[in-house]
Amino acid sequence: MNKNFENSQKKKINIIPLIDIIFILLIFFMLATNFRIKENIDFSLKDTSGNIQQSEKKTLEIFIKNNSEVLISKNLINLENLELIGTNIKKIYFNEKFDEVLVVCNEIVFLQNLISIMDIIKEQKINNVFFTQVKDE
Amino acid sequence: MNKKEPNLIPMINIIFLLMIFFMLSGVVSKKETILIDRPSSKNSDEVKNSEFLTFSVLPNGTIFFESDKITLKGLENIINSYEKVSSNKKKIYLDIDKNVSVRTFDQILQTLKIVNVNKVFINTKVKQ
Repeated sequence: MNKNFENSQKKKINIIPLIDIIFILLIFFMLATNFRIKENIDFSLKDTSGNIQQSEKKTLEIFIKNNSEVLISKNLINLENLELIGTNIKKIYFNEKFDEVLVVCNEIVFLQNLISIMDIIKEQKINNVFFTQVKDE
Repeated sequence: MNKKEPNLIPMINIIFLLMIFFMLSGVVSKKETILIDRPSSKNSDEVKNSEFLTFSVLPNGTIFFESDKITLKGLENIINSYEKVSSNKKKIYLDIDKNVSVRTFDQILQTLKIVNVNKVFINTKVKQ
């Protein structure tokens, strides 16, 4: 009887180190993992300069003069007024049946402003949007 | 004297499940050494592919690749060397600051065009 009891005592494995290691691994994964999903937008880099000259596509030009003003067919609109910019573009684009939009950007304009304008254009369900830059005068 | 020890097996099971959850659902990310204020966009999509080359661009136009400062020529060389090593084309991601000028952005795009990159992805702020 006594011998049996001793045998069962010896067979028991100490699981405390295992728990320690699992805890350390758990803490590592909790601290090192990142649940944020990255988001992006894409720009196509196709060379369309030749095609523009050949085809007779009607292009609506929008000029981002600086970091505060946008020129849409002679209307100068403040860049903060994105809704007004959107409605203006939509009205002109669909009324005058343009085929594409070209955003002409002064070289000093910040990327955020260009992306905001392109966002607004896309919101109007206009898919043919291009951009080019001009030197600051 | 022989005290009854608590059963630790359920606890181990729970810890294991938690560990498996963190291992599978999260991504072990590198610590960001270059602080970039990414532009925000309403039309951004989630990143699905993990096979990409990322270049960081600071507001003053400095370009970084894996925390090394590079020039436009360096950018060209890096993409060319990757094309030689790997058979499938890698996607090019730009971690570009929102205050980078369009001039710098256009210069980068022109350089990418030289090395036959057709599409470039701009990392944006995550929608709240």
